[in-house]
Amino acid sequence: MKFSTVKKYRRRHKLLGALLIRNPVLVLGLDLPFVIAAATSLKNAAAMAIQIFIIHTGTMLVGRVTCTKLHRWQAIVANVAAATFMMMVAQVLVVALFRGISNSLGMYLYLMAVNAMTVFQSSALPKNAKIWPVFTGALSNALGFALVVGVVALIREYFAFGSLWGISLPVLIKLPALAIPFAGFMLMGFLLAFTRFLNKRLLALSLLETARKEARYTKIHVDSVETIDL
Amino acid sequence: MLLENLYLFFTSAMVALAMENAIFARSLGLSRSVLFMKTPGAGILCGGILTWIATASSVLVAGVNYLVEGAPYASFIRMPGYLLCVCLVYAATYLYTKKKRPALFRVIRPYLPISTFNTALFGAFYISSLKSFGFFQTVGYALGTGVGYTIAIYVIYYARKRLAISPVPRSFRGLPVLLVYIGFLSLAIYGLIGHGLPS
Repeated sequence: MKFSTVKKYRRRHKLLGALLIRNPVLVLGLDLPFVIAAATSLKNAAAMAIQIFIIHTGTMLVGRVTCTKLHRWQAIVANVAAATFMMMVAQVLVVALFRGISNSLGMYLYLMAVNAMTVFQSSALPKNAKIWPVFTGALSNALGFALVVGVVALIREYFAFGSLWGISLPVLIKLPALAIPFAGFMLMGFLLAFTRFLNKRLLALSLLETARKEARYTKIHVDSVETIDL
Repeated sequence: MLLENLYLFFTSAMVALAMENAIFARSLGLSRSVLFMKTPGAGILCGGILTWIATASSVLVAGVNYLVEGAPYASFIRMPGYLLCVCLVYAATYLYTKKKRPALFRVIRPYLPISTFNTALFGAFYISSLKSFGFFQTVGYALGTGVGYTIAIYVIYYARKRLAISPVPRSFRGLPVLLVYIGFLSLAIYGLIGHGLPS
């Protein structure tokens, strides 16, 4: 097999792994409050995605330094302080890009500073962690969060308000209750179940593909045994 | 005056505990580690630490809210102010228990960070600033948030135990069915408050 093919396969599955198999929201159950309560429109989702990219990557890079220089209990305080600073920077950008986002997101705009994914992962970095893997890992986690919050926001905005990104669209059935947090809990439960089902199917398909390429099928007749090489 | 303040304290605490429960009404403080506590004792410990940190910090946070109210760029100053108050209480708790109560320190040490830097705690402070609460209301709301959070973790623990022995489809086992269950509880509380579903 060519090395370039192996590299392409690994790169594709690394991204797929970050988005599905190791998704911080769907698999690790982190940052659920933002997806359940705040993801009620695509604009909210986009604003939260931009925030998480800035806050998470910045704090993970700071965490790489604090984990070597400070005690664990001091490092967590420093990481949360860094996350708060990143949140203030992200808030300026998000408020400038999306009008009325402060009213729409409310306190969830500010609570991003203490989101579980950033707080836990930045304080759990090993002391010998290299910068590039920390940075790419943070980016992939932020991408995983952005994907989930985007899907949930898309479903809720379309069926609750009959619009996408504020633009009215025809909708067969309108369910305004989808915007309320209880619907977010149920939607997340079904989405998690679907992701688990999809992960199992993807694993089964990849195993079947491998088996088909390498296996020998045996056809058994009454009188003789015939082996077919693929 | 004292009676009025006590009344405000208890009503805000009860509102935060039941009607505006951090987990069921706003999904604050929710994560896998909280939902999958190994024993009810661990859940109560986690909730108890959050209650202590929230109540102690709220005494300082009430001052921050008073100073920041009406100030320019108040939205920028609030979060660092809240963080400073929480970090002071966190550091004081950590150092005091480490030096004077080592047995207690060993027990609370794993849960102290996740209980302190929690969206439920900071959410309670933001709600108190949004509703322009006074000192007694802020402290009462923080106490009620902590106690309500503890009760919610306890309820979720026993719900998880019951769901584990129920016939649930394989893809739904664990976190998915638990989230659906919490959704139904949230809907029940939403209706109990008196809200109707929007049409």
